[in-house]
Order: sequence, then C-alpha cells, then structure tokens
Amino acid sequence: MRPIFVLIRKEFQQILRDRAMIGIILIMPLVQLFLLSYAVTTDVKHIKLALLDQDRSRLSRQIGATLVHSGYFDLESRPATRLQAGEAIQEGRADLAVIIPLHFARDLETGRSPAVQVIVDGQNSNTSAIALGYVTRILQEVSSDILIAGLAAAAPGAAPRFIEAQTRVFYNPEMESIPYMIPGVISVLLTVATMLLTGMGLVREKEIGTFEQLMVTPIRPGQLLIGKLVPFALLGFLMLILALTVARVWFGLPFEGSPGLVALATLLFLLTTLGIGLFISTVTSTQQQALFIAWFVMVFSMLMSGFFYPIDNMPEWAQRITLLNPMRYYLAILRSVLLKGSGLVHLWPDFAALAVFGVGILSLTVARFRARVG
Amino acid sequence: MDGPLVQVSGLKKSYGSIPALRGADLEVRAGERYGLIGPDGAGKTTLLRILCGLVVSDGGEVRVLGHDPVTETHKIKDGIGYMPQRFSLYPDLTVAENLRFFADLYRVPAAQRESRTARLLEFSRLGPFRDRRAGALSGGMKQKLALSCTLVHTPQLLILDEPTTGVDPVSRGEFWDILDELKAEEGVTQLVTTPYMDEASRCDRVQLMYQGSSLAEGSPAEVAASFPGRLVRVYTADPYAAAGSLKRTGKFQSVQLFGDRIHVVVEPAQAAVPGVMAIVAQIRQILEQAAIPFTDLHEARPDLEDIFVQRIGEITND
Repeated sequence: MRPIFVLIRKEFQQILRDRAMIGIILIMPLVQLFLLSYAVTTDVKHIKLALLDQDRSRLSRQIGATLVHSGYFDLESRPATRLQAGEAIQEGRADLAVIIPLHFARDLETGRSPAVQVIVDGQNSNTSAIALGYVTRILQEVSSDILIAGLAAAAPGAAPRFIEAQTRVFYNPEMESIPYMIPGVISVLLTVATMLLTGMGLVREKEIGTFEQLMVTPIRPGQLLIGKLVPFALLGFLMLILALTVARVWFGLPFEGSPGLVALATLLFLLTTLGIGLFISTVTSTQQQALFIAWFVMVFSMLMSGFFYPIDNMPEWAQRITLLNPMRYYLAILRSVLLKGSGLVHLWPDFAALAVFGVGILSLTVARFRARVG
Repeated sequence: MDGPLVQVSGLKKSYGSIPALRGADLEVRAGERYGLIGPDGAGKTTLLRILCGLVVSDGGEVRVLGHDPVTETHKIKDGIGYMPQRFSLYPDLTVAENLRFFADLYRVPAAQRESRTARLLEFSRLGPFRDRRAGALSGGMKQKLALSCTLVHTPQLLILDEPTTGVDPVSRGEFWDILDELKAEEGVTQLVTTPYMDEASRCDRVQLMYQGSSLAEGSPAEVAASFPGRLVRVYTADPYAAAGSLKRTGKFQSVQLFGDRIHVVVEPAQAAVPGVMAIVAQIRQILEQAAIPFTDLHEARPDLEDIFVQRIGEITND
C-alpha cells in the first residue's frame, strides 16, 4: 500500500505545483459548461425573416403578424419584389423569405388553394429545417382556423369536429437544450481528465526518463499502475462534483435520480477512460503522439455518443457503431438519472454495457502494460 | 556478500540486426570502482541496463548480487542504485521532494531517512538548494541530485552511466570527489561508464569496450603498460601538416592526431634497433626539413587513449 500512497502524493504535488494544471482542472469545466450550454444551443431563435406581402389583404396581414409575433423570427426587411426577397437570401441578410402572392385571400375565398412561397437558406441544414417547421406550423394553424370558420359558416349550428393533438413534454418541458447538453459536457470533461491526463502523464514519465528510474526501485508494476490511475480518477470525480454543482446552482439543472447511481456509472465509465489512457501510453512514446490518438478517440466518442446528434437520427450502421462507444451508455444514464430520475430497473442494460467495457478495457490494457514493463 | 557483486560472461544483445553486445564479460568485486571505457555505441549503456533488469539479454550469464536480474529483479533492487545517463528526476519537484520520493519508494524508515537526506545534501553541497525545483538546477547540480537519489537507500552497488557527460569541468571534478568520498567512507562498490580517459584513470580497474566487446581489462596502469612498443609525442602549431609529412616518409607504423599533438608509435622491434633517441632525432629532422615548427618533442608513456587507438587499429587491420 505504501508505495501507492507515495506515488499518489507525488502526483498531487506535481498537479498542485503546476498553475496551468490547476487552471485547467477548475476553469475548463466551467468554461465548457457555459460555452457549450449557451453557445451550442439547438433552440433556433432570431431567424432573420424577409416578408413580402403582395396581397395586402386582412388575411395576409394576419399571417405576417403571426409570423413576426411568434418569437422565432426577427423581421429583417419587407422587400418590394420577389427579386428583392431572393436577393435578401442571396446576400445573407435574411435566412428565410416568405412571399404571400397577390389575390391570396381572394383565391382562398373562391375555393382555390393558394400557395405561400417560402425560400430558405439551406447552408445550415439543421437551422433551416427547424425554421421551415415553424413556418409550416404557423401556416397550418391559420388554415385550420379558416377551415373551421368555413365549416361553421356552411353548416350553422353543427359543431365542427376534428382531432387536435394536445402535446405535453415530460422531463424537459421547455425543450431547452441546456439540460440536454450538460450531461454531454460532463462526460467529455471526465474523458479529458482521465483518458488524456493519464495517457499524457505516463508518456511524460517515459519521455523524461523517470519511468525507467521508477522501474529500478522496488515498486511493483501493479502498484505503479494504481498509483498513476487513482489520482486521475479522483480528479475526474472532483470535476464531476464541480460541474454538477454549477449545473444545479446556475442552470437549475434537475437532479431527479439517485446520486449513488451517478457515482456508480461514473466509476464504471472512468474504468474505460483510464483504460484507454493507459492503452495510449503503451502504444506511444511521445506526448504528441499520445495527444493525437487521445484526440481521435475523443472526437469519435463525442460524435457517436448522442451528445450533439440524437442516435435515433443516425443511419442504421452508425447506430450499430455507437454500441461500441462507452460514452453513449454513460450519457444515456446521466440524462435519465438527472432528468427523469430513472433507476437501475430501467438502466441496468446501460450499466451492464459500461461495466463490460470498463472491466474489459482496463484489464486488457493492464495486462499489456504489465507484460511490457514486468 | 562474498564473491564478486557482478558476474557477466558471454553476454549478447542485439537491437534488430544491430549487435550492441557481442559476448561481453565483466566481474566487479566488492569495494572497487570499475570503469567501462569506450566511445558511444560500445555497448556500455546496454550492459548496465541489463544488470538493472531493464533490458533482457539475448544470451550469456548474468549475476548481480548473486541473482538473475530478470527472474529475481525484486531481490536486487534494494541493493543497487542506478543513475542513467540522462537526468531522470522530476523537474517540477524540489530537491527535497525528489529525495523524499525515492527514499519512500525504497521504504527507508522515517528516522533513517532524515539523517540520510541530511548527509546526502551535505555530500552533494545541495543543502542551500533543497527547496529549489530540480528542473532549475545547473547541469552539475542535477547530476549530484541524481546521485543522491540513487544513494538514498544506501545501496551496496552503485551503477553510474556516464554521470559527468555534458557537465562542466569544475562540476566534473567535484562529482568525482564525491565518488571518492563515498568509496572511502561507505565502501560503496561503483560501476561507472565514461568516455573520458582522465576519469578512467580514477578507477581501480577498467575495461576498454569497443563495438560490444572487450579490448583490454585491468588496472589503468596495467592496461597502459600493455602497450606494445614506445611512443613519441610531438607538440606543434600545425599538427595536420606535421602528421602528413611524418606519414609520407612511411617509416612509422602509426601516426595519430590528438588535438594539438601527434603520437608517433614506435614498434617494439624498431625501438630496440636504432633506439628511441635515434627515432626522436629522425622525427626532428623530418619536421625541420619540412619547415614545420614544433614546440616539444619527446618520448612519452602511453596512456589509456593510446591503448585504445592501438587496439582499435589492430581490429580494423585484421
């Protein structure tokens, strides 16, 4: 036990000595939380709208007002012609142009179905799809109002019947992206703190020669490993607590489920990331190489975890690949426990997957490490 | 322990197709300072790393403190202190923290640790710098700290790999004074590699190594005395021209440049017939004819460097 304690003490002496390191540990979680939570929002607001009302009827004005007051659009301009509307999109002054043609109201009254033209800047496909969705929904609402009014006029006294969908969103009622993002930010932070720092830390010892110096001391490879892994696991938990506290206090993130489950999931997840970090250190000899591989693993884990893109939206083959990504399970657990308060009853498959990855990866790399140095 | 602390015979090691050791032999006796002398690539470092159990050999016998360094690594670790060629301590920890770290890894009891650390700091004159980060020390001080860290558990056998390479001459001298003190006061057996001949002469016994095998072994005096023939040293302002004109005569077996001087080797047979004095006169005449000025010209005792050049010459001529 004593050599392990000595190594851990040394590791913390080094961490505390390094001002930049303390900054990274304390400030990086906060910056990432704020940056990703506020900047990388999937809520689409302030869409720049160019509105051309050629009809100038009561109905067309009503549609225009509904769009402007919906809260999603900022009225950028009122072009005079279709050409100008097109130019507004072309020059990037507007993201979306809505053109209500001449005789729109009259056509509607005379039983024809007039068309509203919507031009969208498709460069950012995600934003444009959402903007299009808003416009479509608003137009549908208007037209169903007209339909109801028409039916009522045609058959006075007969109540119009139709099906209305009453939506209620559970767990994230405002459908904000922040509660969705924060668990992702936390899993990325943990990966950085453990995988990256472990891998780089061990490779650094190789680079400066201290690794060999350690190997001639009576310390056993197993003790050396524990002494190098435990400090970063502790650091990971420290970052988790810090991030969750800020998320709760500042962002009001709910914490519905059991802290014990979060801790258990984190522990299992850290086995994986520490294992990968260790693996990286056995296949590289410089910190640059280690950083490069760690970066690749990071990007893969992030993209394939459902952090930014819902896994359900991915093509079938990509969905299968995500099954190999431990972060996917950790993220799913974190979201469910924090937002829904889910328990082990529902989450055990994710826990099982994390456990298999954690124990598997760590024991394989430990065996590899020991074979190389023992 | 009785008997030699290190016993190596027929040791072989290759890195890929490049042989580092081709059947090296070594015996280090308790209490002596043994020097492995040779240029870069002679296999000195590989040999030391095998002794420490850091590298597994391809063949041959190795015993360190009576144990096999590969299968019984843990039995020798407490008994040896290894100082690699490159500075291998934590640059971001202080002198005292580095010492404490290694003392603790070697499980030195707390009471003993304090007195040992105090003694090592005194030895190395690092006392005033105990709270300075290792990375901020000068080259010479770094080496003294590294030495102190390898001594913190009071090993029987100290293994030093080119401990003074890249260190300024004054610090080099100080470092060797510390090694002398250690030997005298604690009787620590020392196995040292060095490319410097002046350091080699401070060893009890030396082995000249070249390309993975031994050229000569014995005390520095014995090895130097094994030089066949005699030697004439010429000091001149223009050694290139002097060496050139001496070589052109074809009268001398070997003419070597050593910085500002030339060594002319006189074969035993030659030395006996006309006498060394006659050869000195001959050299003087050649140089005067060529109008090459020289400051000194005399017969000299061969040193380790001459042996080295002569033995390597023998190998390459074969």
